[in-house]
Amino acid sequence: MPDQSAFAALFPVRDENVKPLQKLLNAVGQNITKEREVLMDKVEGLLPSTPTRPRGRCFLEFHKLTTVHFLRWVLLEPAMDAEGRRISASLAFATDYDGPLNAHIDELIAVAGPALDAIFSFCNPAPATGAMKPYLLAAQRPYEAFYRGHPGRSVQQIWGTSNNSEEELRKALGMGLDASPPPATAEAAVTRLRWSAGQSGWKSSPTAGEPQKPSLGSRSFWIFAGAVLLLFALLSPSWFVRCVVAGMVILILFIGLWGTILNLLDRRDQARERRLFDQHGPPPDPDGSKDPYVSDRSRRRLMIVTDLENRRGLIQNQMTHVVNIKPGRMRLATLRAVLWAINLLGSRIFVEGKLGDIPTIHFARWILIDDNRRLLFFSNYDFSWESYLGDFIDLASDGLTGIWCNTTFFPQTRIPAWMIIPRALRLVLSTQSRTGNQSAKRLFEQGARREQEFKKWTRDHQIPTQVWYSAYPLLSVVNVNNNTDIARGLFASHSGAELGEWLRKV
Amino acid sequence: MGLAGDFDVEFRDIQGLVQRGYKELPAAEFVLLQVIDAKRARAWLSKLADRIEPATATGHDKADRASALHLALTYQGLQALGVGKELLDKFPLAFREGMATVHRERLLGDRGASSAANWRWGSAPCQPNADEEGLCETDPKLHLLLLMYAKDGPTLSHIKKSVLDELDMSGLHTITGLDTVFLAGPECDPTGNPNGPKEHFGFRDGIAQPHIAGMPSREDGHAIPGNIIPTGEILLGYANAYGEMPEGPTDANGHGFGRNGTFLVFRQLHQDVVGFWNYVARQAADKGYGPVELAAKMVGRWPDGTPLVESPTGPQPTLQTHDRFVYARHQTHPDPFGFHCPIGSHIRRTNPRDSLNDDPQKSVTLSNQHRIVRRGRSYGNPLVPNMDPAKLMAAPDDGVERGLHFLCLNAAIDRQFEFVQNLWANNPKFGGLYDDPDPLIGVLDGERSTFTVQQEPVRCTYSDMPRFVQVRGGAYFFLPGIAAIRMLGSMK
Repeated sequence: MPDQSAFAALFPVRDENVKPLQKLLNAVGQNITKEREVLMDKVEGLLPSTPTRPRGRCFLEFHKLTTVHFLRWVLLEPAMDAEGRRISASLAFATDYDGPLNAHIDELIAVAGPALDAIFSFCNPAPATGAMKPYLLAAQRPYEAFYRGHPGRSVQQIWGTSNNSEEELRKALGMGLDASPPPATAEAAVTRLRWSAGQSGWKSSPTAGEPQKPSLGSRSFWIFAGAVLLLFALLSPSWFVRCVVAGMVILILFIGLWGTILNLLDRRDQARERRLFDQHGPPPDPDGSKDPYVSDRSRRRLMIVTDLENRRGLIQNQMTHVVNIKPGRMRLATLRAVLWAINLLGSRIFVEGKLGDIPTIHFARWILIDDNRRLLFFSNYDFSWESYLGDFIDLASDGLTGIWCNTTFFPQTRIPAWMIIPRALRLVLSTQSRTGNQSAKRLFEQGARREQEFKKWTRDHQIPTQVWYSAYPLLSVVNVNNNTDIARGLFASHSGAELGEWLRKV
Repeated sequence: MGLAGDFDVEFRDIQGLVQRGYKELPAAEFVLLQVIDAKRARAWLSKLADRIEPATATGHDKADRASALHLALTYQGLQALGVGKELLDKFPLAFREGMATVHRERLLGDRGASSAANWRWGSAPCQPNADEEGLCETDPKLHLLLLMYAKDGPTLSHIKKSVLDELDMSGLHTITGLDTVFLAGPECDPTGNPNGPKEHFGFRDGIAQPHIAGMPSREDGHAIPGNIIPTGEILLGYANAYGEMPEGPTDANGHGFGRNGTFLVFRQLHQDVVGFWNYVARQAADKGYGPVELAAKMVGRWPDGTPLVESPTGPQPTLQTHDRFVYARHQTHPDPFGFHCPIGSHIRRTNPRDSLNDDPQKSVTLSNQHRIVRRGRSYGNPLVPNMDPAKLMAAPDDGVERGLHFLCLNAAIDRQFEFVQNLWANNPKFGGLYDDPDPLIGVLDGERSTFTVQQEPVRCTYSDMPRFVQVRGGAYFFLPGIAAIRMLGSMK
């Protein structure tokens, strides 16, 4: 079964091409916005008929793409790394797509060939005629961590242009229910719903089965490992206990030492940041970035970023965030380890639509770029920036601090080196019992918990995403997952309580 | 976080409006002013500072209070009075930008008839740009907001005269005066102190208010766990929900110009009362609810104020101002699925209490990070004098402009007022719904907007909802501490 994957590629751009490329990308991006607004006008009856579609190389017929969930082009302007070395400009291209990759790239080229040619002709090197596919594949960049809010669902299943998507099904079912008179009993409701589904021509599509339930590795491995441990514990209980204790001690010592060194390094990093700041002076206006290595430190960048948000015709927003990694191999190693853990959690544990407790992220991705000197973050999320950041801070501050405390100008964080393991244990144990005060359930008390400073830091390193496309702009993550539940429950046999639960979803 | 008395709140410096809504002073008028001559205006401010009603340590009302005066300023107002850039730059971005920007119009849902381009006040004349969106900005001439409250009409006229007569001499120009009315419903005690006014749709308003830690209050609900918010959620200079000083002109210890001040959000909201009751009467007919019942489902309270979650079948006189309830884990009427009080009803979505997510305790904490203190007053003559829903429904359209001067106080406009309006009221996806903005104050899209009543065996949906509330004007003000007003007055 094809599953959702992430494609990203980076292309160098010469300085003289930055401005013209930016102009072209802006035009492409504005066409997406305009088309969506025209669509909204039509829906709201403000426009009588379909206006003529604009043509030309700036216009991509995104609606013809069947494999794309989200797509973006972002121009990374020339910048400097944490040690003051220059980073030249590049163009990032990223999609969240339904696999396989080959077919996805083929479709992109078939639908948007001229636009791809036009955009990538500004890159260095430009693609050779007819060689777009190897060009794109050669520039591919792997991600460190990838999260999906509704894994296993294809674009066609979620939204689709056919009448067979789960959203179309939900609408058909809703219309059936709205017909007078309303069903009087649960059984009557189910009969009505099944009849409506039949009328709408809905049939369970091949991809509509159980969403993939990723496991923590093969079951036989865990049974085997468990058996070996049990045997060991039974044969020599005292040695088993000693080994477990020794393991814990070594782990605590290792993490504790590691954290202590990072805390020491942090003093040096803070001093360096202060020096840099003094050297380059304060930002030109109060909302500008404190980080002197942000390419445009003025409020202008912030205004461009916010102007792209909360547009009509979509309930989602996106974020492209790029920031320097603090210098030193330990920082990079820590960052990689944390992202590895996040990736593992994201692909194995958080598969029911929530990252931690955050139920609003469609796709998120962390990529190391520029020879591991910068961390690039892409996110496609529901609702406003303010709510997204609020969720981050209130529900996932540990993860955020764990990742971004390794990057420059992040709100000061003291790693509780010797307490990390005990706190982590308490956190895992306390997820079952919901009592106790909230602050006891966090690894870090600072970092992202410094609400105002963290929000400002996030804005400081956010850059405008010139082209951003969403295949289902009016669906939230919760909607997508709910639609799947509706579709799956339609012909299932329910017990009384289950039936009530399913009917509440319709 | 403690109850009253745990730490020092400087009552004498805080404008009394933070503590009370002056329900005992039913006459009120709000005046928008422009500073023409900074020097004379500052002298006027110095004198006015002595007349501003402060908060009190006990929270009890003075029995003999006949009037109250309050003053707030826009960013442009502070500028016009000569406040320096260094201080101005410390104010948060939302306040500095003001309400009428393209970005905030999108956040707040101010488009179409509600677009800042069509406002009566608060926005500068706009030029339509290529994107067909009015490129608006906050009115640079709107500087001060004077709030006047009095026990009756004659007293108000007297106050008004005493304050405004010297205006021209004081280097100030009146932009506009905004009248208010006090709508007392049939339940209110006609002789004395009506304990809760109505709004124009016919519902009791202003019941649920957060209790500000350290600030005793008679009228602002109960200081019960789950309803107490840190002082810094409303007042600058005190720790907020994250244990930090709210952004603004104070130092790390909370001292400075901003101390004891708060941000006042003012929006003039036009209410289409005839449209609302017509819709309700039309829709209720074929789906098994009476019109008042459907309207109550949309609001979350019966017209007299009784919460639906407590009494889903009808109003109860003892529960008219009842606010001590939760939804998901209600002790006697748990309502996690919205069968009593719909998930999308106005009061449930603008203050979700324990029903924001699956964890009731955490949900209360998170909901309380977005509380506001409401101080609104209605304006325009009511459609029918006694606000009886049956009569409201039967009344023909009289074409009168009426609505609510929505005023609220908060320390972080973006995390509190804007968040509630954007994520909870305007968001059609609230609580897992699909096309349901707030039925009262949301951006309703007509054909696409619905209101869902959760019930057994299956939900019932009302569609084709037009927008019942339009924005007619608005601005972000700073309501400073009284010492800060004196400071402004004594600037050279």
